[in-house]
Amino acid sequence: MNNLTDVFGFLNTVPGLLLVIAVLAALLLAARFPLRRSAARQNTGLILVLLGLMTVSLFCLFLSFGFARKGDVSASVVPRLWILGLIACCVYLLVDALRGKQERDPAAEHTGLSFLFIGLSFAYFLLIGLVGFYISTVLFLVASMLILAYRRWPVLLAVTAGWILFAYLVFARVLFVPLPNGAWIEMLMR
Amino acid sequence: MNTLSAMLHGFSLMVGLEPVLAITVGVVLGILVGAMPGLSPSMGVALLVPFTYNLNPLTALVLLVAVYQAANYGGSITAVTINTPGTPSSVATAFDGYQLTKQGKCGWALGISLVASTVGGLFGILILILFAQPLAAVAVKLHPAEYFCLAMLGLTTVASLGGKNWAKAFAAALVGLLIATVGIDPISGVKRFTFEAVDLFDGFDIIPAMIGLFALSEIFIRFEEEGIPRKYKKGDIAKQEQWPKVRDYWALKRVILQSSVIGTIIGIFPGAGAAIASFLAYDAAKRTSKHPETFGKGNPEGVAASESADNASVGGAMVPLLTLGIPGSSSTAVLIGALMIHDLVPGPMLFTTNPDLIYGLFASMFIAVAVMFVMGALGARLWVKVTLIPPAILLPLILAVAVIGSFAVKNSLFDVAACLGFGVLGWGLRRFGFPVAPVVLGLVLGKLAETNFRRAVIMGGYGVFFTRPASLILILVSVVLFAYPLVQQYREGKKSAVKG
Repeated sequence: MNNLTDVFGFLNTVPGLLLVIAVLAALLLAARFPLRRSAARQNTGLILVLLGLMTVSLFCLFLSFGFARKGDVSASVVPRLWILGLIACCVYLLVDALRGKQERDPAAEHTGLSFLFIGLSFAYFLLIGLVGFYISTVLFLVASMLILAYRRWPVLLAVTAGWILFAYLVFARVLFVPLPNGAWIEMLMR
Repeated sequence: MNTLSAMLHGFSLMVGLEPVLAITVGVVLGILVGAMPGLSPSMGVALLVPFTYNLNPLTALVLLVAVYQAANYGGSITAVTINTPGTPSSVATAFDGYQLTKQGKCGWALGISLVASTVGGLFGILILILFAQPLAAVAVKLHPAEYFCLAMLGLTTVASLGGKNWAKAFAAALVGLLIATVGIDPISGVKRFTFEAVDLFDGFDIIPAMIGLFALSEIFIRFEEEGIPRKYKKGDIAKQEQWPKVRDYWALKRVILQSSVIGTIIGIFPGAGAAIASFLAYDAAKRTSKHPETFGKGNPEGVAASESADNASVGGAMVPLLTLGIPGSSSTAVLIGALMIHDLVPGPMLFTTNPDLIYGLFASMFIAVAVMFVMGALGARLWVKVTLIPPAILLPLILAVAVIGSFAVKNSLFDVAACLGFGVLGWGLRRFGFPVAPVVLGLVLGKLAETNFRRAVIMGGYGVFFTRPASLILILVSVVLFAYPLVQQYREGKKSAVKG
């Protein structure tokens, strides 16, 4: 019983969640190879998404047993309802996909550019925490426009400067939104 | 006659520089607040409350209500132009509005959105004036069981949003509903799926989720499909600036009127909100259309339905506020605070102790809608130009707007991370044919559905949903609305199999 409580306790923390996500990602990547050689290879992506959703649902179902039971209708009732519904939908779609009744996965033409911008967006987010909103926004906008093959430097710089000015005037000065300075900048300012 | 003479007196109170200025400033600010993702109508109203301390009560209310009214329209501008709904109630507008923009008909979509908002707004105000007190008596009798069934009715739109992919739409809605359970349970205080992260105690805010699921996923999908986006040609520019003619608006009269009725009725129920109104109206328009298969692909009826319901719900939400002191939405909750600052107690007595205030406010709402129409018409030509910005500049700017809009909600970088996460989720779902609108619907309705379900069961057991006539009727209607498209699809599938 103590071991189960410890497991619940660990999985209910951010490191536990990250471990689960890492294991899930590894399992799904591993599952990709046999799927690509199977009869359902035209729906490999969809099947992996469905397996991912089902695994996350089962994980949430497992966690729901750790919710404190209070009152006549406990906090776990409704989440379990949604989880069971989601698993049922995923099973239905999985059977359809394995029988070849779903549309084929879209062709991955420029997926690299999407991944690049997803990575750039997360880098932007991390930079905001380090060097603050203004510096990271300048870097992000300039890098993005250059990647998208925009080379008219006067317009590029004017747009970037204009957006920074707008953000400062409207959000920082009028709306009093405390745009982050960033950890490194704050260290330098001390 | 009494109402008519009171209204005429109300209009006479609006003659003057101060009220006209208050309405104009309120409408302009409201449109800007509504259009900006990350700023909500309630935030706009709340920000202006301190500025109204030194104004007389009528002018203060006129200003704040004008912001509320115009912000609901403002959300449609970014929904149409860049697929980034400024408010949750503009999500349904984006389904067809943005498709029209992609087809080079941005001006068309903005024109329809403006006229539908104006007519819907006027309709809601008319119902408010004529039927405020009897409607409020109905609204206050609603049991949690009926609220739960109302939320379920909202969720039935998933079936028609999904079309042939109803299972994927249903799965997407369940993902949204499950995500809505993250945080501290409002009834028992139990932490659910929070992983001991303080930022997750409040769950995920709807604004970053909406921005991520719509705007960011659209950008990622566009990069994947088109690669480096191409520049616009001259022909694209001319098309985007075409506007509907009077006959085009007249052709939408049935949808606008039907949706205005739905919007006003839903807006009356406290907590139901403009988002549910716009989804239900969109769904009703699709079901009653001669060409339902064109919804979601740029059908102007979709834009008209969503926007007229959205703005009609403003008049509806004012009914319980003024007659009973019960806020119908988060913006009206802020308005209650504003009323109390000026020593006014909202409730049935307000109509008898301050008739000038009430009818002056009603008159100002009519004028605000007219000013909104003028400002919207003038501004729309500017907004169309947004769609003509080279994609290499526009798309990174949208990402930057998404980041600052998400941050501004609670001044938290967590919301920015959530927005990006929802963007990736939305991209992943859309890539494999899952619609993202049901995820937003699940997020919007999840807490309403769960809280009222559990309250109803605590008060009357699981049978309460079937023993109360109103909730039983709502359940039956929900079952029919949900099952009908599925049965139709099954029959069509059988017919094609027989023909084949």
